Amino acid sequence: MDRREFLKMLGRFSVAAGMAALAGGRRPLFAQAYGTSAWDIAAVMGGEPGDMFDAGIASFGGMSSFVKPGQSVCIKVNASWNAPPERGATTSPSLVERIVRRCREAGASRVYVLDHTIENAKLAFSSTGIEEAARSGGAQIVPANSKGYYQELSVPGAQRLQSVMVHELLLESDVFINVPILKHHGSTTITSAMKNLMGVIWDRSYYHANDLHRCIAEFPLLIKPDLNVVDAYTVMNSGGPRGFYSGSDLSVRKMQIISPDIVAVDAASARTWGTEPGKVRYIELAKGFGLGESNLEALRINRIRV
Amino acid sequence: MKHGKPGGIYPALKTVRILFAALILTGFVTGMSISSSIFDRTLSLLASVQFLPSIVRMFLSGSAMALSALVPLLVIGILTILIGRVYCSVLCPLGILQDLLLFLSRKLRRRKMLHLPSRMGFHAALWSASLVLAAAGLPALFSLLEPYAFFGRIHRDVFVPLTAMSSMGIIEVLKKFQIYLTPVPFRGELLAVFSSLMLLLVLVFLTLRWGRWYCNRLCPTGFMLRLLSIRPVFSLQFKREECISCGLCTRICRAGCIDLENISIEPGRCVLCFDCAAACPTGAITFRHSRNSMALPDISRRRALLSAAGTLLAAGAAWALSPLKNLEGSTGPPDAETAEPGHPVLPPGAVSRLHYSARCISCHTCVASCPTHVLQPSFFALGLQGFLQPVMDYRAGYCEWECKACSTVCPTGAIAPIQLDEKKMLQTGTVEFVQDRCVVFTEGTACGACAEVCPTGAVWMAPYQGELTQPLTDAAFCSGCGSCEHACPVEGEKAIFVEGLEEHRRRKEKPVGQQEEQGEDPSGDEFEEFPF
Repeated sequence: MDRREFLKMLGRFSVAAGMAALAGGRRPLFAQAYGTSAWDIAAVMGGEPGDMFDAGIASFGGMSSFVKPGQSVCIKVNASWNAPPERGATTSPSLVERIVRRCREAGASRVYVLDHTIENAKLAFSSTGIEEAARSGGAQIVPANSKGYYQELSVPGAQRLQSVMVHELLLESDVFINVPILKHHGSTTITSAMKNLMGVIWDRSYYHANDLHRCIAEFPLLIKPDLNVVDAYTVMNSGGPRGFYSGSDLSVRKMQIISPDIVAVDAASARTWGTEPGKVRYIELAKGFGLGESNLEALRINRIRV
Repeated sequence: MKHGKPGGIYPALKTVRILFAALILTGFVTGMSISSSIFDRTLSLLASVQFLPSIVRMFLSGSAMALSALVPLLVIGILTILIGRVYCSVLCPLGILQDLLLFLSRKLRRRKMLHLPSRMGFHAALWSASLVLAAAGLPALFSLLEPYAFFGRIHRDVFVPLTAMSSMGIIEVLKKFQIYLTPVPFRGELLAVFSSLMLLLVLVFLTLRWGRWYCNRLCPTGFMLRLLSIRPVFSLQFKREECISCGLCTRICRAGCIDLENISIEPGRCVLCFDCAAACPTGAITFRHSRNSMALPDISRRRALLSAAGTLLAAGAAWALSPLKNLEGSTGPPDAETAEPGHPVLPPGAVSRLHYSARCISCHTCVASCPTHVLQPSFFALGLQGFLQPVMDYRAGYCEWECKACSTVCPTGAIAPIQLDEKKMLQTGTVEFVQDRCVVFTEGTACGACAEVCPTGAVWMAPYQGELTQPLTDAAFCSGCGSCEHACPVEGEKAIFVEGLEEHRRRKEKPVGQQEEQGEDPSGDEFEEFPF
């Protein structure tokens, strides 16, 4: 952080202190039910990321269905790589900015944009454009690369991921929104909503060494996002999840998949990328755990063209 | 004759010196601590005008770099011949650090300084020995004594851990108020911390006891500037008729160079702090055109210059005989057998082990500026001739693809300045994969941590059993960045690692089309219909 950032933060200090005093209750660890929506998934096609989000979220009654005035919101983006947004490896900044703005308009007291990046956090947040997008929308970025911010929790019903170090902001925030980008992944075929949650825990290596698919599927037994917004505007077909610096095989799909059901968005993501949900083991495992529905034919999908 | 006004302009000159020194020290400390472009640029600039690093750059690198060293060397050299060792008070961070220690100690308890003997012979002998050894390929003594390198190591090994520790505490407090910072983790060897701490304690002791003792007995830069300022054009001198022999100047002189018996000041040891002139109650010490009344060192100028010339000849001969005089890297094709097991990886731009070890003074400026902490000080990883020189440590980090900070800040040209495009095509090591240790084979579960992070496509995942994929490698594309080794989750010996090369090569660029796995409908952009 540079000096200006630091001074800005000090400026917010008093506000934050007041908020901290007011913040009383904790969010339950499981996704809340948001009234009754006619739709399980909103799938949007053909527009810019921000506009597609506005069109899609309307299917669930808008952002105010998820964020109540005075609540704090934690948004998990994909800011893992020190790469420009054009590489298709990180969440579109325009989408991040729009979601933050809508949270603010719904009355959110604080909005955090969080990621435990793989590459250097300072460089990655900046070059992906996500730092600027979060700021202009009215959020604070949280580069989650310090162990001091993590708390160890046990995962109910898990076999391999029996305990996990989770970023404490996730536990303290009232609303948790997951905003991954859909990409190819060399070992799990695709990365989308569930895989994105590897950026809220401390030790990725544990997942890799202890049945990656199973760990990915078991984590939502502990924490499920209230809302998942999959950025499928630019989709990496191969060379994922990082993509080669010299350019990767990208398709501009101009799509977005929104749902409170993390298994359903991953199933729709699989089809969008070009495979079947049944071929991605963590999706099938998560469905087996009762975390959501992966049968796309059984889901009520609002297909929207912008 | 008019009495000189007590103090006169000297308190003002002293203030100017202190302000300037404080500014320079702040520049060094912020530049080494905070990674932000303005501080980084300041650090690069300050490091590039350091005297001995500039000499290394001037004589041991290509013409463009030599030219960049010429200006600071000329300015410092001419200034020293004109007015003496002002460099030691305002540009040398180790000198400023000693002044800071003296300032603090005086706040606590005033310790009297003493007039010290000149001992130029000892200073010369140490300088000669370190220089000849360095030229012969053993730069350890030179690296240990060189003041900028000394300061850099104190900063990296003592100051950085301290700030990191305190920043962890600050983070704990700030997060109570929902303020989240990017932390400053310290990754490094305890041995480096311990050895630098010991050397710092020695320096503190010497400074509090005898002031600028280090600068006039041990410092190689100090010796060279001392040679240039045996009789500078202008210097601090006594007006004998004004002196009342009160001894105040001797008691506060940090260089121990005021001889009250002969009422004279030895300019070669004076660092122009102006304390004496500012404090003299009768204004007897003034800065003016040098006369013959000055104290001369205990060896004559002629003898000192002759011995220096002799040393340079000896060093030149040692250099000529040593295998290190590889100025621009090898011209021949690289030896295919250079990758040995457990071979250290050099930072990109180091050219070759010979090039690097002959130029690196172990100032650890690169270590401090490395954003991913992959550059770490070594002890004997590069052999005796590479004592303390930094190498890539892929347990601590990986080499960031879009970064060349180390080559920008290196003040000696040991890590030659390179463009980012050039750096991306360098090969500093090659990837090795050991299937028997890999999770995919030992556990039969998906992993791919290595391929996830590979920036060049030297590691990729290929079909193995059903949906399970296995890592494959092609070392020809490998840059040696160590991302794969850093990410590999295998405990103990990693399943994938980088073997260092003796000498940088050029890697091959992987064609974009040559990518492995693809979706069923990879081509095209927008769908006609929703795919579900």
